[in-house]
Amino acid sequence: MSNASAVRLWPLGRTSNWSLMTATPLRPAISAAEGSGPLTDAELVAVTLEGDSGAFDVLVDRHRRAVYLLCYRFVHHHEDASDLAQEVFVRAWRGLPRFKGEAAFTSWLYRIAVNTCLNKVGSRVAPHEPLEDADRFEDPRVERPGADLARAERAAAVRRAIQALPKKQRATVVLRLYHELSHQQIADILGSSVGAVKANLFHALANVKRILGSEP
Amino acid sequence: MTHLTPEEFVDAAEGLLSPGRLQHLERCGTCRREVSALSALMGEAAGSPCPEPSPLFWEHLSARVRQAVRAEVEPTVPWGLSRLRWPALVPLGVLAALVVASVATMPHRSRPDAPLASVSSGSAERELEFEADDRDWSVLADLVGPLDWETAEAAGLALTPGDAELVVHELSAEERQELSRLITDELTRAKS
Repeated sequence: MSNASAVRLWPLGRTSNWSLMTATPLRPAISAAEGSGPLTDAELVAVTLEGDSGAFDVLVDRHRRAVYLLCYRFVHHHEDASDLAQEVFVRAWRGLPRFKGEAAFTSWLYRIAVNTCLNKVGSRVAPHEPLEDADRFEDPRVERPGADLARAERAAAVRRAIQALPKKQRATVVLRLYHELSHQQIADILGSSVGAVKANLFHALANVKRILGSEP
Repeated sequence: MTHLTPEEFVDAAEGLLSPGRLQHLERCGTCRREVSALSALMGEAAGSPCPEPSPLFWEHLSARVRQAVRAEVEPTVPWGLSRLRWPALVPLGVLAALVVASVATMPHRSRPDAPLASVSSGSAERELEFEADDRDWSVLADLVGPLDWETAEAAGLALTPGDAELVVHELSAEERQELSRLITDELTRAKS
């Protein structure tokens, strides 16, 4: 009898935000530049660097959702996440001439986003989520609202524990569990190895477990 | 056989453990419990909801970024008079000169006899005079100094009651800030 079959595995294979495309129509000048299909990120970067800032707008439209959601996962606040997302794109704009295309644009953009978020929230104490936040997940039509409330409180506790993690562990958890990036992509973003990313994730989750265990 | 390493625990929780190490997992209750706990926690964390903003928000965000980026595109000029539009410079210069002149006529605790600038009262040639060693004011003096009253009036630059308020009203926030800074600097300097 195999006991391994009893091990519940973390669900994989959900839709990733990584290859998010925009439905926004391209500007005429850029449309003219694209031949058979939409320009790649690298091509849009090149067009931007040639002086067409409209190409950068397309990049923004293409990646705004992923960047915003990433920022949101760090701050759990809409306005702050919006401000951070804007800052990420402005920093990307400033740094575009230094983008050499050695890594994927998305990795480069995510690296900027992670650094921006960590700089912003690094020294901030994880905010306490009020009970009202948990209440919004409660559906009065459900027969066991108490159980749902307990689940929501547990989810809030997990989020708080993640926010209390050291920077790199926190970034690893956000990128892997929320954004479902591959270990290789995370390694590219954080400038480390795949092995280090996995070890980071393991230690991060061990820390989350410890923090949850120490909560009243 | 050794227990799983941290990397292998993650691989196991994600169903990516090599067959060789999977054999150990099948036999080792400690590692199995650890993998189960890890997997459960990963699922719990990943299942945390992220509220989706309004569909209108995305265009708003793009517009914000566009605006911020366009602001970056504008050539960077150092703060100072160069940020002020030319048409605003002359009336502003006159306005600032009037402010300084009024300050200069106020009683001073120190240097009572050394006003920074004064407006001559000659009826034919009312020219603004500025101290030569004041660089900021020398810029203004260069701009407005050569203009005599009639020329300025003919050019529509002469002040009439309410002009100063009108000019200030038409300034951008940035220009108002700069004007405020200039006047504050001059007031501070005049008082010292």
